[in-house]
Amino acid sequence: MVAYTRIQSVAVIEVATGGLAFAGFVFTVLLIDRVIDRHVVWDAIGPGAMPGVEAGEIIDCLECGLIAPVSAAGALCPRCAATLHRRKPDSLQRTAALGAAAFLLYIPANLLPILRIVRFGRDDPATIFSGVRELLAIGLWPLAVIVFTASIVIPLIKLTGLTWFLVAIRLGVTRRVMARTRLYRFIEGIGRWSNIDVFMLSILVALVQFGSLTRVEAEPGAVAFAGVVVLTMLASRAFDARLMWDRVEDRA
Amino acid sequence: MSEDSEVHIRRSRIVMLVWLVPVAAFLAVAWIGYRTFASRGPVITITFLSGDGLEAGHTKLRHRNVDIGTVKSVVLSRDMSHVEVTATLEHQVGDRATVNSRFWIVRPRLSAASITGLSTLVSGAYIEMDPGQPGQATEHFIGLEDPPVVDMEDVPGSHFILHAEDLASLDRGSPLYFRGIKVGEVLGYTLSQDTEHADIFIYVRTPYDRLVRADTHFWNVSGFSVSAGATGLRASTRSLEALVAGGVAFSTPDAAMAEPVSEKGAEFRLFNDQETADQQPVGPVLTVSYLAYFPGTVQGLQPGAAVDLLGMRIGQVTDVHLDFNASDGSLRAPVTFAIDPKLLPIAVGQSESSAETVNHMMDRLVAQGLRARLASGSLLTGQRLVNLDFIPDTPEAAIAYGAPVPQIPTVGSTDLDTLSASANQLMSKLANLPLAEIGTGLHNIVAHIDQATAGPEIARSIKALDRSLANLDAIASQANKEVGPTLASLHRTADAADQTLEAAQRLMGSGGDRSRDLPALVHELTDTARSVRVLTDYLDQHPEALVLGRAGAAK
Repeated sequence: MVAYTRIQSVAVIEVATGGLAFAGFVFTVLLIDRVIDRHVVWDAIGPGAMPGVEAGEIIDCLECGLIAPVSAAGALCPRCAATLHRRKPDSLQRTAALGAAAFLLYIPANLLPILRIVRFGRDDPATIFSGVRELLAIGLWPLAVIVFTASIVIPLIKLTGLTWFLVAIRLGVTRRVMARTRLYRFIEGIGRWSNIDVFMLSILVALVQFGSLTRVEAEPGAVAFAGVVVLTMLASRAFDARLMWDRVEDRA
Repeated sequence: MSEDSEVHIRRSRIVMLVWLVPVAAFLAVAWIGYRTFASRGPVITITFLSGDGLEAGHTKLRHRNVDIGTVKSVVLSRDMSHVEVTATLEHQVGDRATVNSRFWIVRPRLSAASITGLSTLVSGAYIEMDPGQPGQATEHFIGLEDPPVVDMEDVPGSHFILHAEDLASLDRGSPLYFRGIKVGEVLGYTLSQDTEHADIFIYVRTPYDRLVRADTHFWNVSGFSVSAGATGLRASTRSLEALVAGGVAFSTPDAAMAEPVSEKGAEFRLFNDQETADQQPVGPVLTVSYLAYFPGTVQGLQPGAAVDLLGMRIGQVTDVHLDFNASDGSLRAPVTFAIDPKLLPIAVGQSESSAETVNHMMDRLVAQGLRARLASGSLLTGQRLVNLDFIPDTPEAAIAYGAPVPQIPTVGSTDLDTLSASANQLMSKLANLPLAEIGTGLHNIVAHIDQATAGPEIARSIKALDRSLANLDAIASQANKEVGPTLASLHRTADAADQTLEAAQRLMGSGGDRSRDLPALVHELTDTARSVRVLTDYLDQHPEALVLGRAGAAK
């Protein structure tokens, strides 16, 4: 969106048939993703439970939702061949490590320019924040809010959220565990959407190459930003929300 | 248990690997941070009168078209009298921002000679930095409003300073020509300290700067010049570029090529045209000045007009002005002219004594009748010049040596202007004559004659005359018959006379000195000429004498 408006200022862009078809395709895929029930698919592939799940503690496969007795931990899932775990392995360590890396990259991602528009030989580097400010300056404040939220606020929410989870588990805090669970779900769901900026940027850099007239070049900030998005996704994926509930059980 | 611990060890290794990610991230961030920090140069402040075209965060600082910094903020000063521009310089040029550095804003400049900064039309203005010589580092600068007269390091050459009375149409970038080849340009100009001249800074490219010697003459070839001098009308232009943008040309006389090459920054005079420049002497200018009071008007005589000796140019008029003597109420126009001793056929040393040598020569010439007079240089333009010539039979005169310059004796001019003025006076006198009364008088006389001829005496006289003529006719026809023999005898007589003369010549041939008579003859002729001149001079001043006779005689 931001990219589109920025290009509009230097060139006229018309969406052709292929573009419309692609948009339709993406939208349909999104719909399918939304309406499909994975359990139905997996149940069609094989039985949803291992023998011996009737008695005692059970665990489930993280990939296909197969139910197995806790003794099967470490073995491979008979249905999807993923390793079965009681909890995600080294969840806290991995989340902490990836989160810390993301935190570090968050700094240059916001301080360094993410792209540079070379217009008529005039260099115009832009950081995320300067982009937001520019949008505000030309009165596109709804867009400014979107960019500000998606590129600055959400990564920050993800990082602070994960930190909160880790600290809470470490200290054995059980209060507001419901709120934390909801936040985790939100983080998991929104995670990949932050990367849309990176994808747009890559398209922009490839498309806007009008020689000396206008050129868009990616800057180191973009790499850092992509790193932040990918690392926070991996961190939230490595995190096991059930650990928070384990503390509740411990307390009980 | 052993299996468990093995699994545990393997897991802890994986965990260790996971922690490599933040370590790598930290290293990357630290490196980027270091690079950003290290490449950051000093923050400088530049003040300009106007922030036209400057944008915070976008406008660049450049040197030789390479970005060396970025403008961070453009704000008004507290008293709102100027604009303060804050900019960060890049690390590698940070230490070159010294007290010698200069900054100016590059905007599109369209002058007749060139179009510069065209790229800034689309890319916007930028601030050019000229680092200058290394020196004391500073952070506050005062920006130049106009691009400075830069010492172009990338184009080898020399700069010189020209002093001109008038800038004319010269401008920054006006071309400089040597024999029509563009060898440099005008870098800029300024008014001299004493406001007497325009100081013009020029730049001559190598190797042409070697052509500039102490006696190189510079002149203005700006525009289209029409000059009307004693030699007539001249129109010239150097090139289309010079026509539009003005220009300077220079030449170095052969004699001046022996002089050493001029130092950079040497100062020269800029002449208005090539003619004036060419007339400048080579070598030290040492002239001898004389003063002359010409009778009558000095109209058409200007400073710079030629001074001729027997038609050869030997100097020029330096000053003409009016002089009123309050004690006796006389008004005169003293003309000062300078003679260049080098143009005189005498050996003159380069010393103060040369004036004496010239004075001595002039003394002798004046004693022989040399006088200064005004002459017409050009009938077309009315230009006049000072002519030094021998005037025969002038009253004795000598050079008057008084302060400040010697005064040379003069005679009135006899040129066309004076003649036409006399003719004018004559015409006005004629116009005042009582022509109508004279006409009436004449008419009366004719009427009287008419009456007289109408009488019978006249008729008788005519008849008598008729008879006399008839008689005369008869005598003539008789004489006619005798004319032939008479003529033949006359021939013989003439031949005899010839022989007699020849004999006389032979007689006088040895000791005869007929040439003794010649000076007397010439003297008489001269006397005659003088009388004629006296007459014309008298008529000149008293044309009425033509009609009324000499004033003295009348009274």
